Amino acid sequence: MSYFSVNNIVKSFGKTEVLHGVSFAMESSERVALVGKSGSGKTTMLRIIAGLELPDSGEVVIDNKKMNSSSDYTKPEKRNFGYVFQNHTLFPHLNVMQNIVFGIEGESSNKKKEIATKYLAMLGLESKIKSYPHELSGGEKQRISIIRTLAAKPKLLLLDEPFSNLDKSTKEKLKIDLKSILDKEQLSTIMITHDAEDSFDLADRVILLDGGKIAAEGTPEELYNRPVNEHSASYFSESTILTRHSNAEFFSAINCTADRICLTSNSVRITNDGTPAKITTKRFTGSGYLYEVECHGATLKLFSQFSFSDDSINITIDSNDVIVFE
Amino acid sequence: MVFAIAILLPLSSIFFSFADEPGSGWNYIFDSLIYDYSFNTIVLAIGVSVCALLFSVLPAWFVANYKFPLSGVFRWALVLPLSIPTYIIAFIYGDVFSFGGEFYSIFYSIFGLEISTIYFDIFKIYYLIPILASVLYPYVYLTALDSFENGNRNFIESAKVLGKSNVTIFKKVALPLSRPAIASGLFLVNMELLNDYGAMDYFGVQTFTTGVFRTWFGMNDLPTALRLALILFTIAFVFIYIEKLFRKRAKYYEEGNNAATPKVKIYSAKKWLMLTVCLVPVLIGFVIPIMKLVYNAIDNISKIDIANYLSAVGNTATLSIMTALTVVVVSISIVYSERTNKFPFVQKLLSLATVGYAIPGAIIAVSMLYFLSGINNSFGLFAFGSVFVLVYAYNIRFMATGYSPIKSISDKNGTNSYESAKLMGYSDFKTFTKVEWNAIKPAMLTGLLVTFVEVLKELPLTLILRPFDYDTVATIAYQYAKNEMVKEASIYSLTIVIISMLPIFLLVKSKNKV
Repeated sequence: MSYFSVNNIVKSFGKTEVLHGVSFAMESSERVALVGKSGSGKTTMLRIIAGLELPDSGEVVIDNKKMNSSSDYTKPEKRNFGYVFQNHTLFPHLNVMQNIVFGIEGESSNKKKEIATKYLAMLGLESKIKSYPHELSGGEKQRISIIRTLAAKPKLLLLDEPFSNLDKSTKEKLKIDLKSILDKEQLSTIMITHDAEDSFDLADRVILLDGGKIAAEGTPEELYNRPVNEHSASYFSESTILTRHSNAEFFSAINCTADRICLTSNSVRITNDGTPAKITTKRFTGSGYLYEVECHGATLKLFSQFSFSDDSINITIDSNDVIVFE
Repeated sequence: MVFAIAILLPLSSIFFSFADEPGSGWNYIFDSLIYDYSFNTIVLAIGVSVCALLFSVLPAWFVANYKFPLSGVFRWALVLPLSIPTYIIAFIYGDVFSFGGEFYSIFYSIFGLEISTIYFDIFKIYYLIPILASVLYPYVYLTALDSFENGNRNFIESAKVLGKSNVTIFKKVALPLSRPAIASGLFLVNMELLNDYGAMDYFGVQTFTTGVFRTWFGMNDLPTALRLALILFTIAFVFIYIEKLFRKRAKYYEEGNNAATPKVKIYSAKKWLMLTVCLVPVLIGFVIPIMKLVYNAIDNISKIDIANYLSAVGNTATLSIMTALTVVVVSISIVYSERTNKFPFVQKLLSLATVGYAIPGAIIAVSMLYFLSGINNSFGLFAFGSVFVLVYAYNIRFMATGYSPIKSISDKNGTNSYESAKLMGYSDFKTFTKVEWNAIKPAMLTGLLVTFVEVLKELPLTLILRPFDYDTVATIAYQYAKNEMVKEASIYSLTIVIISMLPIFLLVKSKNKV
């Protein structure tokens, strides 16, 4: 039996069905990311888990206790789930210390302060103890918001796009801090994000939502290297989807009998003795270059750490790297 | 800028009056009445504020967050008392609680209690407090409702997932976060209170405003009236300053807030408690007064002097239309001058042009008298008590009612269209007529309507500055009531209340749209 599961969740707003029977489960201490574009239903899913929205049907179960069955609804304040909102929601009339101790129950005032100080020290924010939210930077606000949620000792941590409003360097620092704190606390976590990279950085398992349904599910490595469908291929990696109908010459050149295949940018390699190909576009990505090359009438994406000045190159595709889509 | 100076000059003249010799009545007022004026003003400000809070904050919280019987109706019904001016509610309850009034008749018929055994004199400051609060609380209700509905959702949800109960969330999150909004509502309540003359005079409560009237009409002592007005002016600015402080804090409180709070349906007995909490202020501030007004008006309909009534309606309409039109035209020119003129001094001057909304009518009236007498002495230009002077004074007092909606829509639309048109070579006038006219039309109509109604309700300024023998609906209602002819005043009061409901419907409609 899983530690936490959502079973067949359906939710509509008016005539628009946002979630069409979503189910997934997770183990204790596992970190799951729900990923998807705007409107995919991930925020609604997270709000249903937190109890902030009621599903039309389906269940949320934690520790064998049903939270959202038709007969038994546990209010959000009774669930003991931590929720970190996208835009921090630190109470503006309370300072950092007051914000953190706000959610701690059943402890003496001194103990509450001790807990808050411990977390602040963990993230190097002790000097901000008396600051008010408007005196903090965006990254500091989000970190305090995470601390406030963790200090309440939740059974499950819910993160709603925690990095979306941050600049790149602040985001990287927060990711490192969050990862270290989650490793230490061993807390079951569900994060929603539209950014595949963020999900790979933090999650043990990633679930791709599309149009209110689960489109793909797996570890970050599985989803990146072996996408199961066109949608996950385009979402998680720089891939090329090819059909026999439009690329007959290429399919026969690689002796492929399938009708539809996917090649990730890592599965097309530059070699000295491969098939000749012509570079059509080149883009610097920071860690290397992403090329588009033409080979036997097909346009393929490939990644290399090196920059080529010559348009003509040779490429090799290992048949094991060809992903066949049904 | 010319308009701004024309608005500010009479107001600033009040400061120069301090250099003049005090009038003959000043020593008497200072020795005998200043204490009463101050004490009553403070008691009223505190008392009415507390009562307005009691009438407004909980109903606003319930309406914003819960579904209970009639909650949709209460959302707008709680605003309706705003249509009843303070002096009219004072006349109504003065009559209901008078010896032989409905209150005692009902007690007698239900409980058989003799009037003399339960009679109390309603004409006391302590009874006036809840009466005034019953029509002024909607200022707080509206600002609190707006804050509860639109400002707090994320914080409330955040507190919920941190395990807090609804009561704790209200006390520790929603209420502190809405404090700036509630303070700005209380500010408007107190401004109305400082402005009031009719209710205070009817109840015999001495305040600085009634003092201004007493010294001007009773003692013909303009210098003393001006000194009292200056004190009133100072009090008004203390309120403005406090409101500004709260508004500064509100800037931080608005961070990260957005969508409206979804409402929770209440099934338990609590729904009846919520209904009662919302019903009480609507009953006291609107239903009972309207019933009484309608009853009196029907009872007295045969005795109405139609010619007098129509003449007062005509005068009121003339003043209201003239003022509404000039206010809107001047507001447009101020809004566009603010946009086109970048000099900080001019910007400051223009922003001060709308300060009249926070200045009691009596102050504006006596400062106009002082200012115009100065001009008259020098140039012999103006006749006091002309319609022109009255409209001029109304413009000072109500400039904000025209300016605010136009400014708000202009800010919302931003400067992109204006700047694009300018870059295409359009003149300011052509840009206004071709690009912006359609966008600001609804705001202009709002400005016209609200200003129209404000002039219709206005009493103290009209009483001081009106031409001789020139009556408006408000002045006749006041005079009848003052002469113990409350029934005769009813048809005039009812006219004011019904027309005053128009902008409220407009407001409710626009809020529902949002």
